[in-house]
Amino acid sequence: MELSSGVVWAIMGAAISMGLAAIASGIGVGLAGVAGAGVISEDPKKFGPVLVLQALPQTQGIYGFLGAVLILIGVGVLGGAVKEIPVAMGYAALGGGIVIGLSSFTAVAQGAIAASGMGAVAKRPETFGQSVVLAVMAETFAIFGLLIAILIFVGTKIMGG
Amino acid sequence: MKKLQIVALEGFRDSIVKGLQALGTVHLTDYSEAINDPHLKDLLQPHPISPNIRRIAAQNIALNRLLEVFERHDPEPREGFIKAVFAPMPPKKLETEELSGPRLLEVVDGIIRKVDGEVAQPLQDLESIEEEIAEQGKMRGLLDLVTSLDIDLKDVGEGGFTSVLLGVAPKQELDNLRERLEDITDTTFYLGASETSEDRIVAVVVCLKEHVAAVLANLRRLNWERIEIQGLQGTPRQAIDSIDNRLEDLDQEKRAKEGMLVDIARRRKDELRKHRELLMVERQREENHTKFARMEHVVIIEGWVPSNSVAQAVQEVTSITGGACVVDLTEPDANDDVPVQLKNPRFFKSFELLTRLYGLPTYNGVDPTLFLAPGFLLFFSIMLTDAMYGLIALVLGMLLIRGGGKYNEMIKDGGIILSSAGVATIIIGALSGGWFGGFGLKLKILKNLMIFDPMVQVTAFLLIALAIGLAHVNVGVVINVVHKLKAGQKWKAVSENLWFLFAQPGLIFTVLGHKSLGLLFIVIALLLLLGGHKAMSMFQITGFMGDILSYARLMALGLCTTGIAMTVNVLASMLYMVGWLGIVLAVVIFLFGHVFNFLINAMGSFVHGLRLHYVEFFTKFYESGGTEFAPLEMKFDIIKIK
Repeated sequence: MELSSGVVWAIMGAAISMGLAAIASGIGVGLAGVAGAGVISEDPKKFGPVLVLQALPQTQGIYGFLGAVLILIGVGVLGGAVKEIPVAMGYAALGGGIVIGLSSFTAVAQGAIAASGMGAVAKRPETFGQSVVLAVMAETFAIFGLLIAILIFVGTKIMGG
Repeated sequence: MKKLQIVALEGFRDSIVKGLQALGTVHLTDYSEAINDPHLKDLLQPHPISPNIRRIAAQNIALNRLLEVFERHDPEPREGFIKAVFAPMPPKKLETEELSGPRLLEVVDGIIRKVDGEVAQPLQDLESIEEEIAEQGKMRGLLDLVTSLDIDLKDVGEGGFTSVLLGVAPKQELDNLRERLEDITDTTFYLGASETSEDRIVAVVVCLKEHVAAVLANLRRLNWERIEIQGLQGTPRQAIDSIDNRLEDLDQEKRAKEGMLVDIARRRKDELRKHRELLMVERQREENHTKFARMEHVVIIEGWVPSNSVAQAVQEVTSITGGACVVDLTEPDANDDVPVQLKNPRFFKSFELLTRLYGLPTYNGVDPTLFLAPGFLLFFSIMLTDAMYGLIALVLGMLLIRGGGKYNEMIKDGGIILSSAGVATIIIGALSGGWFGGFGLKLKILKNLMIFDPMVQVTAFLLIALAIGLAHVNVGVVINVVHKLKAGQKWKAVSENLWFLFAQPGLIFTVLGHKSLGLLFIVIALLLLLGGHKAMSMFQITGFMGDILSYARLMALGLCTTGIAMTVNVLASMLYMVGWLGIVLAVVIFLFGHVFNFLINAMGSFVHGLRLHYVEFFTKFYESGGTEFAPLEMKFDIIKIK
């Protein structure tokens, strides 16, 4: 099987989408996890709310995964025969991967907010809902990143084409 | 709400407070501040703290201490989280006589004395048994080191002229030991040694009493550790056997004492818990004393009553005092912090949970729950877009309602929210062809239901999301205008967000070619905007644009659910092709993947559905910061008054 360079560029896009998102989500989850361990060392019963807060920065990793999968399906690497696609289309897929990868760095900020939220929950458990909403704010831009990537994929017929 | 002021003779104070508590409709407020009022300053005094508070606190501590002892020896069975939420045991209700005031305190004192008397001896015995077990265990540990010596332990220690010392030392120091002993004792010594492990020996040293101090000081330098055994007889092996026998006896004694405590616990636990709860209710009542003000013989109590409970409250107070009281009812004025009671029809009542999470509305403010419920269900279902996931949510919700929801209102509310979100998701999912992703579309009947394919009609999906956002924001703006007009705040109604309602037809008319009509609307919108927000007008425009764009997440997260479901199906179908092991793995991946996707995206849909309300919708009209209506009430968790 011979791969066209368009497909290879698209694969690079998938790699960047997932790779950067994994790093960013990992840092975010890490920041939150360190704070979470502190909270449950004081009160193991808070494990539930702490776990939910820690899970929030994982979403960016999922967006990265989704972006990568959409590219791979779009160019036929996953679930079908590899398509011949023009190099320019490969670049477009790469662009989509980059925007998801970079915007997933909001997970780092989200992890920091989640960590502070755990501090709030440790002191006053009733602030859990509010803490979640505060942390979710940071995710908005990652969603916009995913959105732009999807628009790129649709506009260049990588998706639905 | 009506403000209720009661002026009555001090002697009626306790019965009035008790009567109000039984009614459970009066939210008491702090009237002690009125003392600072220049007109009332000479008349009123602060009401003293109830003398019973301290006694109740001490009794509470004593009851808790006893219950902790019981919990240690006879722990209550605990339910795991899953069982507590989905299939809890019905809570046990303890029947009890109505008991309050000085009589209650006396009874509780009696109970504490009685139970304390019952547990004191077994607890003390248990303590000394445990001490002895620890001592014997320690001795046994020491004896274990010297089992290889064949000596009579009764000889160890000081004799008439000589001392017998036991100890362990490193094996390589044996020769040094001997040399050192020769020096110190001028060869009048005995040294017997035997190996205990590879590198350690146990040694018996016999020397004259006058040499003991010097011998010990020197041996310590050679890392000798003395073993002090006293009061034992026979060889170490025999001594160990007798200690083991003693330990066995002690263990039996311990179990017997613990059995006694368990017996007492089973007999007395309910009695203690019952009275602890009665005491809590008593304390709630007594704690309110500092909120009152008093004159020489008169007490003044102030609080809030919902309008429909006013007559009942007044009648209760009048009948308690035999009419010897003044009950004054007034409408709240602008400076009052009036408590808020949310009132919604049954189904919507559950969604008050989500309103509370943000903060209660101010008194006279809009209760957003009626608007929040449909919006939340719509957004949740668009972001979850899968009928099967909706079904899972529905089933989980029903389990919550029929499980923990039976005894816990919050779990019930959560269950109702989750199951109604599930129903909404089933509908939206069926329309958009989500049945575990595209898995169910192999069935023709399900495919026929599908009117929209989110993965194909992506741009249309985005436009629908933004249109929903625009509509939602408009609803928020309209609520604000209507509410402000109703409240008589005409300028606020016009100046805050009304410009947005004029700007939209302005733009539409302009685009459609009715330029002059369009311009008229736009000019009005600009005037309202500049009049209301002045230099900050620009940020109003960008703010509204940002708000509407934010609804694009409906589409992005909807696609996210669909996309991941699709990925799971692709992975599973690839495995399905490669033999029987592949089929097994495919099923595992399919189940695990969809459960994971459901969990992660249901959570996402929940928080983002809330966020769109809290941030984009509520900011258009909602003012939170109200105080919850918390009436003085008789709330019993575990007891039932006969």
